[in-house]
Amino acid sequence: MDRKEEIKKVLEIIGLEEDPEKYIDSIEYILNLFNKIDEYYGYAEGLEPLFHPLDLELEPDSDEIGEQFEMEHLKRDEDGYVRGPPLKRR
Amino acid sequence: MGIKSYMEIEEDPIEIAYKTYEKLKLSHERYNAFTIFREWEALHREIEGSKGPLKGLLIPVKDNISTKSIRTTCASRILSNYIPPYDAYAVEKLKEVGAVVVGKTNMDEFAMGNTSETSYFGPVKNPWKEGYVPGGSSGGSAVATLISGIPSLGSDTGGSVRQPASYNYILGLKPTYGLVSRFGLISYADSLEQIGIFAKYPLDLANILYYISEYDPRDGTMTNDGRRVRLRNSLYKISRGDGLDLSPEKYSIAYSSRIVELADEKVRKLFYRAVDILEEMGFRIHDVNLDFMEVGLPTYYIITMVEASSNLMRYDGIQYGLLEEVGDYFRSVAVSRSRGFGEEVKRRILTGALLSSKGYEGRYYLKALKLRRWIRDSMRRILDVYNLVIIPTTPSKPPKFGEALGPKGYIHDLYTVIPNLTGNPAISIPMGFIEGLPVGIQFISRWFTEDLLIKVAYTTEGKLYDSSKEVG
Repeated sequence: MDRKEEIKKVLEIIGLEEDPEKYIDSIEYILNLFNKIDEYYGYAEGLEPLFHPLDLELEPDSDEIGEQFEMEHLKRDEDGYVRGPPLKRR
Repeated sequence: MGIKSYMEIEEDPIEIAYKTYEKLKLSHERYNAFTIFREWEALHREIEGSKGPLKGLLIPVKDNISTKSIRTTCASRILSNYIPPYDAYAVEKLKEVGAVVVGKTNMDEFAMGNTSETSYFGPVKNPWKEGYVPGGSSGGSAVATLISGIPSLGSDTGGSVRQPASYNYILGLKPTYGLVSRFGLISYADSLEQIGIFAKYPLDLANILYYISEYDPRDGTMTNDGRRVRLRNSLYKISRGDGLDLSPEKYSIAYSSRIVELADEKVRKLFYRAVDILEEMGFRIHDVNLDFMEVGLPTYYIITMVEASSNLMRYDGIQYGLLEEVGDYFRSVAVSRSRGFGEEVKRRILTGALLSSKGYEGRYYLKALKLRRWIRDSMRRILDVYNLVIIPTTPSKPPKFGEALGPKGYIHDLYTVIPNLTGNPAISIPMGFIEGLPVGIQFISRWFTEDLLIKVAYTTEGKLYDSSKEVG
């Protein structure tokens, strides 16, 4: 697939109605800039990817069962229907 | 030396507020520093009803930080009608102690830029010289602080506080990753961004940082251990003018002449002048190998673009923001996004999506994440030995309008992206002028040692820079 086709496909996926031609030069420029990482990649090859700069430890909530969602707890109007949030029309 | 602060004059808070309001209004009218600037009558009422040590402080807040009932647009057409139902945590904390939001400051659209030119509301102007950019993306906050003398809030993803601070001859602090809650900060690249502070005086940095660095369980990336407690105790003391002095001879500083070589000749000259001043003050300065910094820029941009493409998928016009109804659902979303986002934002979303698509992810993104670990670990090793690292804040003086737009302008982030990749706190301190335009020097320290950076800013005041210097 050539660059124009690639860009066209991605634009469709990300929901942008644009002419792919417009981005070809700048994408080429950016990818060329990014290729510099190969000069240094040897230092990082065996390392684990780093997603957050500080090592974070996840502390999940305890597994105790609390109050459960029950239909009978929901507020109902006089006809017995559960009232949802109001709909706004823009 | 007397301790300077925006609150140093013991006046009626309303009087202080009115004086700063007039200056802020000037920054709005002359330099386009705000996207939304509130009327005095409304502010007056809020100040009268406020309580706390910051009563009378009108705080300019960058337009990507949510403010309850005040429009928050990210300087984008797509959010031009968005009014958040809640305050960002940092804003909430400042309001609790008496501060009042004076308005929302202008910026590059979705914080994607370093010139404050890509705003839907028009560019911010550099007050030091006509025709030049004030830096970005938090250019409006920087100009508001320069003109009014009061601190302001910005956000820093790759230098968006430090770089405009440098271009405006003020202080700009990016805190440690995980120190300040991002609750309410509209995401661009969340593994890199932090809410930061602009100020003219070091004491104000300590004061504001103390209030906004309280632990918030709503931000899962916040660190809540002894390091936060120690730092906040120290900030509290500093903000009251206690323990500001440091003995330079106890501190070692690393820099790399090879990395400084990447800057313009005039920046290099000012940087080495600053090195001489620091040495004369007693700091122990060493030229070391910091080559890992050379790969910071592409590593940073790969990660930010991938994160941006994911974060900005939420803007479809359906839940909030601009909606152009032009047919079926998919077409309406595509047209809303195309008309709602500016060129640079679209380019970054597109590039990020391309980089994370099949066939590309191992070629760029995965490599960048591994390089990020190498850069982070390298910086850590350097800071295990030295207390501080110094580099210029920017490789050149502020560019003219249009000169740094688009991908060719990414180079201006060369030095500022490093602390965002490594999570370290960093401050930009003014170091001089080039042809009438200011530039800064950047100090980087260990995680959760913002107090040291503030003390450095305090100790070097009057030697490296003059905090009373004003435009014109």
